[in-house]
Amino acid sequence: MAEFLSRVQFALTAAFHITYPAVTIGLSVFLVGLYAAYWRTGREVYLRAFRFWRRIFAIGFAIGVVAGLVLTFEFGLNWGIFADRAGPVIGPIIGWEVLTAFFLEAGFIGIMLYGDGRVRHGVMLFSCAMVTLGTLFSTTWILVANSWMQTPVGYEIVDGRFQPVNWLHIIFSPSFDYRFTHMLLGALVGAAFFVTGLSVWWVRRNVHLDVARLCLAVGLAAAAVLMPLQIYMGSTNSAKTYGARPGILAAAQGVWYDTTSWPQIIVPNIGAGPGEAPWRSYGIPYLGAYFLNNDPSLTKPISGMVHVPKDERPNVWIVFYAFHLMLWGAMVLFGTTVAATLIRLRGKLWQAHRFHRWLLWLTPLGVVCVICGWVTAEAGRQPWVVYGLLRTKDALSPLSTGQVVTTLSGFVLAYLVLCTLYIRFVVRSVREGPEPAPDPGPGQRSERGTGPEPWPEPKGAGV
Amino acid sequence: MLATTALVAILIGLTLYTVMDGAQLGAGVLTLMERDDELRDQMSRRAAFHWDAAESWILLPAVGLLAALPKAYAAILPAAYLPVFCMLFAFIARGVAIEFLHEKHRFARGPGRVFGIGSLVAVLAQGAIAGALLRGPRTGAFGWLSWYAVLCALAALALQLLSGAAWLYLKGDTGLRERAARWTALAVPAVLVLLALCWITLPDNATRLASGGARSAVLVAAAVLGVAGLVLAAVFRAGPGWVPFTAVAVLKVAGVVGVTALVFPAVVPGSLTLYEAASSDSSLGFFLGGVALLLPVALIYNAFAYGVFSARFNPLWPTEPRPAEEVAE
Repeated sequence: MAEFLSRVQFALTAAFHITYPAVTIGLSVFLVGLYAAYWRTGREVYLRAFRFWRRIFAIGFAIGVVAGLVLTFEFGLNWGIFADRAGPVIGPIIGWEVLTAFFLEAGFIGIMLYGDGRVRHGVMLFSCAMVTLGTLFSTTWILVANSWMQTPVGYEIVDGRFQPVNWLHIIFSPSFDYRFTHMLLGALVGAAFFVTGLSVWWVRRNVHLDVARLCLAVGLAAAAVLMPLQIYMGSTNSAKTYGARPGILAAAQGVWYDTTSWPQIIVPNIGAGPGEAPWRSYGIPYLGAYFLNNDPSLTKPISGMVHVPKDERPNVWIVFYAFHLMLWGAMVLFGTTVAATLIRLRGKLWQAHRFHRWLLWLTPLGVVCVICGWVTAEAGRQPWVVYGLLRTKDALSPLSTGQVVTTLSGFVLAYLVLCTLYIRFVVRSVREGPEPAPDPGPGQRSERGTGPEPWPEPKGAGV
Repeated sequence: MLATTALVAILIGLTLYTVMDGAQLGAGVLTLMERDDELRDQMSRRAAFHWDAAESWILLPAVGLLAALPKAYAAILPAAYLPVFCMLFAFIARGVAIEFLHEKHRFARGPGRVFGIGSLVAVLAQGAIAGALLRGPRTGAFGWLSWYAVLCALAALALQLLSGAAWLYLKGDTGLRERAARWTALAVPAVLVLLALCWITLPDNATRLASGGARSAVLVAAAVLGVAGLVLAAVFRAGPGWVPFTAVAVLKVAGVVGVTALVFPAVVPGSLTLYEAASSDSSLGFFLGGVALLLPVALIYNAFAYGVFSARFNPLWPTEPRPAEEVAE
């Protein structure tokens, strides 16, 4: 029971944590761009957009940091044996993450959020860029650690412990490159649709149009570039998982017996006897062979779960539906991106009211896809914590059920409150909108912008 | 050799954490003792600039243990399961409350109280964890709980109140500085008595002190340094701003060095020594390489960030940029 609850707790805390980076990584890139544009052009619309998104970023970043702190400690708290056995490999990687990412972000976030009027524009831009760099380092190292758990290499086992032998092999483990790219693109897409969806709210209300159009245009442009890449990375991810980790692929695709079709829906096979398929699947004929095996002759079947030893099978229901929610979500986002590009090319983006409402509904979808992707990867790796080598049930700390029940209920409660607060905060901020454009005084319209410099750059302040 | 170096890196991280975040936590607890909303506002707005950077330092000792002494990480954390989670919950509540406080233009009592209580819980939990660790971890959900852990929690509270007061004395405006000097005067005797009690009631303290050699020398030196820091903080509680803060930092350094000298070579007293807990040289080397390369860099840009916010409290800054006329003057 303590094992099950610990797994639920880790899943909850990890999913909650990843929600915030899935927005803030992309948002920080956007903020750097906005500030750089403001600095170059001096147009205050960039500054107002910057300040608005910075507020959203600040709260999300704070929640992401404290929720991330929890995960680092949980490695020891709930998964003490994992910490003991895999610590020599995972520990230094997380150590590098803390040293490169956490400290970099933490050092500059204060200036980025509260440095207005205290530092020069160059220092401000530099601080924003360092925070962004920190979030990217963080993504990199976390994916290094997690990819090693999926495809462990470069170690030897001494006294039951994984000891590192070759750090280059560990860092660039076989699944690192495509999993890292996939996650990074996912986070950027998540932020792009988040920004787009919230900006559309203003467009629909006909308020703050200058900022709204700027953000909408940037968000959709980013999606147009990133979405095709992401679809490509996603299929690469599936194809590479196919050979290396058959259990995950069979669960994600819902394949019991070898088949050439591509299942899209699975339902429990009630009354199945021993040896029969535990679920029925309904799919598209031949597409499985085409997409997953890259087999143009459509005859090579996908290997099913039936070949995976019984005690090495992940939970197919969680993995299949998490994967398909991500897949269908990505298809919706891709279709929307294509539609947006077409509408824009025809010059009708600002009049397409029904499309605006559609975009508003899609605000959280990119983030939901990122969460589903992580559920697929983590639940798919089960029953292993280090794939093929260390089982999750053998990684647990000696804990009583009561202890985990206490903390798990605490997390459910705390995270419900936090989620509510965050959503309320975002909604309220969007309703308030960015600060109003400054009144251009009589005869003050300059060529570079519409208003006076909103905050003075300190002179001779040293920084 | 590498293992000892790793232990030093972990201890440096721990010291930096208690000095930097101790001040933020202590200041947070002090907001609960302040009735004046304007002063409370000033105290909590300060935290917005620094809490993230300060709190992140706790990760250095934590991942240091995970990387270099994984067995110790696996032994300590499950044994202190509930207090560690208490601390984490307190961190969550506190961090989010600070950002929400800063969103508002006036002091908001709700988030303000969460900030104060979160700081209080975090300090007490940290003290209890230290106490449980010093006494030697035991199994069971409440294995960490003992009168010694309670005593350490109270001592940690007094100590962090002192450092919070010293921090506010360094950064506050005139009204707050007067208040901070008074808090310092109150906290110093409490710290002295509670730390002395923690030491006296520790099992085996006398034998270790009298064991001769380097251990005794370091213990005596740490005690002298600690008392000197405490006296300095008390005497100069209304002197130059940096003196009380530095004095409290010296006391904390002395504390970390003293406790290490007391238990060394054990890292989990009673069950695990440094050499038993250490991971392989390859692992230690990779971690320590990162520390050697990046810790100085991290210190530089942390110092830079503290520099940007070095000025004393300016009521106009936190919510709005200064009006242009004022800067021109």
